[in-house]
Amino acid sequence: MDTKMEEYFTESGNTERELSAILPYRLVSAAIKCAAVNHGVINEIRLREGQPLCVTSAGKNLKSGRRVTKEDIDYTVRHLCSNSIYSHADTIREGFITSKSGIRAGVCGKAVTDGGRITAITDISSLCIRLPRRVPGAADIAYSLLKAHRFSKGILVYSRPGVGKTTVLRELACLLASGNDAMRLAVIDTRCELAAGLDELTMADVLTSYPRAKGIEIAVRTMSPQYMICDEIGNREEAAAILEASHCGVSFAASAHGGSFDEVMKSSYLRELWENGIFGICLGLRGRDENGDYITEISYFDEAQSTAHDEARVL
Amino acid sequence: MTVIGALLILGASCAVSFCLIREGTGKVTALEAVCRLIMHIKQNIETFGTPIDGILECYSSEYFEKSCFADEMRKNGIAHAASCGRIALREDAETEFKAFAENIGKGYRDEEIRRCEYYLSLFEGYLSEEKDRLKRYSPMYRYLPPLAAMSLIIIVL
Repeated sequence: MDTKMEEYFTESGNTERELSAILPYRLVSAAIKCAAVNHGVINEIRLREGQPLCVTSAGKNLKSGRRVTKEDIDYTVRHLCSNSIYSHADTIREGFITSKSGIRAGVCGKAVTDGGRITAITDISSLCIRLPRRVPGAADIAYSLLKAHRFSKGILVYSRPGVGKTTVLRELACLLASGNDAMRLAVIDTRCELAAGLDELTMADVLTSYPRAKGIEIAVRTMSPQYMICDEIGNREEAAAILEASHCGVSFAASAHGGSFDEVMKSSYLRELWENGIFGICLGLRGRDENGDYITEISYFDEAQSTAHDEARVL
Repeated sequence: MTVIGALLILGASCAVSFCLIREGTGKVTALEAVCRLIMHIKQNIETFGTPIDGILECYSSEYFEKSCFADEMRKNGIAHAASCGRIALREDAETEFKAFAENIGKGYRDEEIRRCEYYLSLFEGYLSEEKDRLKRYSPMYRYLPPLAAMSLIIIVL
């Protein structure tokens, strides 16, 4: 058996174990069979009530012959929540559930509102299960860019949803917080997926489930980090917390949604962070090439407020 | 021979008496343990929002440990443990406990707290009933079988 096939079977075995903890077995086998046709590993599984099970594998959306029932969805939600919906109520209201093992599922259903505020989600009808993957080497380019600047600059990783921002940040956390040159790192893991399953974060303090802005504030005040990592800056409050923390000498690696540098800069708070030099490097992930390597777009901040664009294919 | 027969009847009646009292006390102990468990679950949900598996993992009670209920609960969850019938509960209390175990964790925080409160008051009701019953009937359990045995011996002799 060649190495690639061996890797594929090992990966499938791990996925089966991972999925068996949250999905009814008939759906696990359907998902694995579906991905096997494509010889790819499973990245996402979508459960929609009354519809066929869908699997995203190697960039392709595949349909399985199995139809998903209401019972399947209830079973999956219960297991994602460790049989305790109440302990995940806040994140369900925000539209996601993160399991103990770091699997994140997007949740869709019927919202119960009170004065415009979502108080509960009932009749859950769709789940989008994303399987976190360790991809060694995914953050090599980001790490080398930071190293070239002696880790004095921050980095903003952007891409369209599902390309691999969180994976890059997760691997970057490993590189920064382990080894002989390990730094004091604070990981603000608001959605419990950034540091999930990472054992080698020897020099990292992980703030799990903290609201991002509050987590940044607490980390700076109490953990004296040299570098901080947080996923998906989503509002002005979070951007303000980053700005505030950077005044204390902490550098940041963060991510944001955006298809291009210009799109990212359309967000006023991200532009403000960029213009203040919080992120010296902007790393765009355009997708992956046929070898599975990221196609990147790199922008540098310079003191004269100008940016230099550099497209590179990372091998 | 007559003396041996009489002693056997007396001994058997004492054993019956002992068993009746032990059964009554056992029901009270079981209900007390269940009430404490529900109270513990409620406090954890209210204060920390800990998932049910986490709550049960660190819960220990002498009665549950002895009856192997705690082991079962940690390994396979409370719903499975309740369905194994390891706790000496009366029939109606057992049905209610199974329902509690089956449903706990399926709702939001306030719903779960209310569920715990409902079942706590229900089991406290059962407990006070059992305590009353034990108080009322324990003299009878204690004295009736030996007295009946003695009467029988007297009649026979």
